[in-house]
Amino acid sequence: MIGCGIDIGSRTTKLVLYDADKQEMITSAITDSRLDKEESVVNLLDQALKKLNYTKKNIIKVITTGYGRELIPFADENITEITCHARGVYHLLPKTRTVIEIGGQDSKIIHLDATGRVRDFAMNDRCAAGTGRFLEAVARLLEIEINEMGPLAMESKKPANISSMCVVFAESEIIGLLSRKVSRSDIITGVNKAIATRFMGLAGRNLTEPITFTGGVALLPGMASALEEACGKGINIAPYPQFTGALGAAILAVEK
Amino acid sequence: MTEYTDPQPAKISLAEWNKLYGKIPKEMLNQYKYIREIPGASKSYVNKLSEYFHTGDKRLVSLKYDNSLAALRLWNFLLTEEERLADWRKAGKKLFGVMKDLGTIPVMVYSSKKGVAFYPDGAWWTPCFKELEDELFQIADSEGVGDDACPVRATLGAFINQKHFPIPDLCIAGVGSCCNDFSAIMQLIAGLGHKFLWWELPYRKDLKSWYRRGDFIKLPNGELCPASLVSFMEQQLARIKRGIEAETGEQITDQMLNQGIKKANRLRRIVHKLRELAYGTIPIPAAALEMLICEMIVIHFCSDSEEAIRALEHFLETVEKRVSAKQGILPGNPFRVTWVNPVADLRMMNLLEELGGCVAGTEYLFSHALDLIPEDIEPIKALAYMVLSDQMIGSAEYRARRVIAEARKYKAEGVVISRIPGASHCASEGHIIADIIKKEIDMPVLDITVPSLIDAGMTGLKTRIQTFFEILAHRRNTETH
Repeated sequence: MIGCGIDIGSRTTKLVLYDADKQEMITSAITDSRLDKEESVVNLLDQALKKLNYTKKNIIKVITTGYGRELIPFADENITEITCHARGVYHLLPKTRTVIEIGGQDSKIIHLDATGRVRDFAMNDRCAAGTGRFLEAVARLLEIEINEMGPLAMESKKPANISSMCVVFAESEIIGLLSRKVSRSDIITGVNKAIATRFMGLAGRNLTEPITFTGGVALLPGMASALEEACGKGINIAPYPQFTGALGAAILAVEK
Repeated sequence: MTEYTDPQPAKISLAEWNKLYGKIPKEMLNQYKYIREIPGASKSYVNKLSEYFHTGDKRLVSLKYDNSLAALRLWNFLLTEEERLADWRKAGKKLFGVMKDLGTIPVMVYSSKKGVAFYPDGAWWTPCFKELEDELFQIADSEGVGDDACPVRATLGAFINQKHFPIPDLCIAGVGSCCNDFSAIMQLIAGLGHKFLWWELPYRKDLKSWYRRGDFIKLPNGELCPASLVSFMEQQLARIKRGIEAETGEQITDQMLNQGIKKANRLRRIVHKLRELAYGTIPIPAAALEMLICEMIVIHFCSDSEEAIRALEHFLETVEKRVSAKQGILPGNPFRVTWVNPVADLRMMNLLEELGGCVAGTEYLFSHALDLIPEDIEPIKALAYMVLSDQMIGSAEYRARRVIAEARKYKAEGVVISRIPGASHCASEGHIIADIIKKEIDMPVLDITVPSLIDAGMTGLKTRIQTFFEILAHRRNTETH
């Protein structure tokens, strides 16, 4: 029995096929989110099915999630990304009690009960600060690719102080730091630290361990350690952090 | 008179109301009049809702409405308030703009035969109704009151452009234990040269250790209050009464105040019954939006205390019929939530229902105005009790207690705290209330911010509410099994 989960995020669209009998993800695919969500989802699904030599008949149910979850007419159901990330992370790391998810457009803190269900959550989608989009803006300012940020952060000796978490104001602050010859690695670490501190404001003081970090931003080396420093607790990075939402949707597709 | 029967209860669009409106006999519509006490000024007011859309209330096209005649009357009563105020003035009544106090000062004003009370800060909904085309926020911006302040800043804009409500003959403004934004906004309005009578709302303290001397009084809402504060409040209200008398030239006797209190209680009893039925019956007989209007009318009578009673009685009759016939306006078994704070965008109440929820209990900041005013004590003392019962002048813990009581009473499954962007009392109060609820009754709480127009943030709001309902669904399943 195959379940299909599709996470239509603000930056990327992810697809996962999950085999309920094997209890594992059998394939995944990712593409940039485009204006025509349906077309890109159809292409992604065709690719995934072709890879496995499957047809749509093999899929018992399609569940969409993410910000574009309502835009796919052929989906059987849509479930929020909060519930789906929780389910996906619980499948991968069942002891998790807190999920930190930082995506392209928003960030979330999700509290799970012992059965992996969402107990409570908080979400920031009011400003770009502390999201993947903010990191993209920083990368652009530093004239580097976003995937270069992690390795560069590792070279930092003294993190810069970034006081403003507004994308617009942080931009002028970073320009000021660059003109004072502050290294890019120190700026990146400073940005990571500022994002982590801001995120803890959303999360509150009582984070129950184990904590799992997921979402596209979890792929950036240095961010998890910045979060660990901010909350004073250990943080695991989810396997396939970009795919936990789609995985959760795929699992819920077979469970429902 | 030709008979008219409401169709099966449903929520309908503005366009659907237009069609339905044509089926209602004209003579039936014409019987609903405001300002009936002055025959020359009396006016039929139940129009097609689309007429308000065409004169600028653009938001109406995005809302879904109860399809009963009583609901149509209710909406029209709400939407004609500014027109009615102008008509009252023409008829020789003095207009009193009541600020900050929620529900008590209008009882005093309506005890006079020559005064009409209204809340100019009701203008905080104008940017929503007009979808920001009224430019009230822009005017407030230009006066230095930007979007980091509560949407009641629209009131400042309305006093400046004078295109909305008539300027009151006297503004009766409560300060002291009041949110900072509103204090500043009232001060700016007074600075424009309008006539103000200021009074002070004391912070309600009930900790006996703070007041080793003196007695405590149990207020109608069950909270304790030092007797010294009641005496202080009585003096304040006596001063306000003198202010109203000076403006109208008419003395307000205790007998008149007692009559005013009785009338207010009559209205409150109707709303009590409505709440019992709407929040306590399945299938749900009345939708959240119409119930919000009903509750709001309690504080200000929508500038016509007599017609307010008639319009609410009409709606109650409709809801009672639905309950008897086991007819609901919402399908299925919606998730029951107690709602905290009124919403800046009325569309939000529709959205809650569209996503599968319903309102089961409220705390709209003025729930003390739903309590009955004591009729067996001196009227000024009774009104002092009501002022001191105000949810806004105690700590957030008072509000949390009231929310918990509502949630328990109406068997809510969760609580939604809807924050008003920029409102200083909302900035962190929501977290405190949420923590108390979670700790005391282990109930899920959703904290959301609802701006004057939710369209731009709709995706995020939907995600929050849908996730909240996914949590509630899981709890339902767990409890069932």
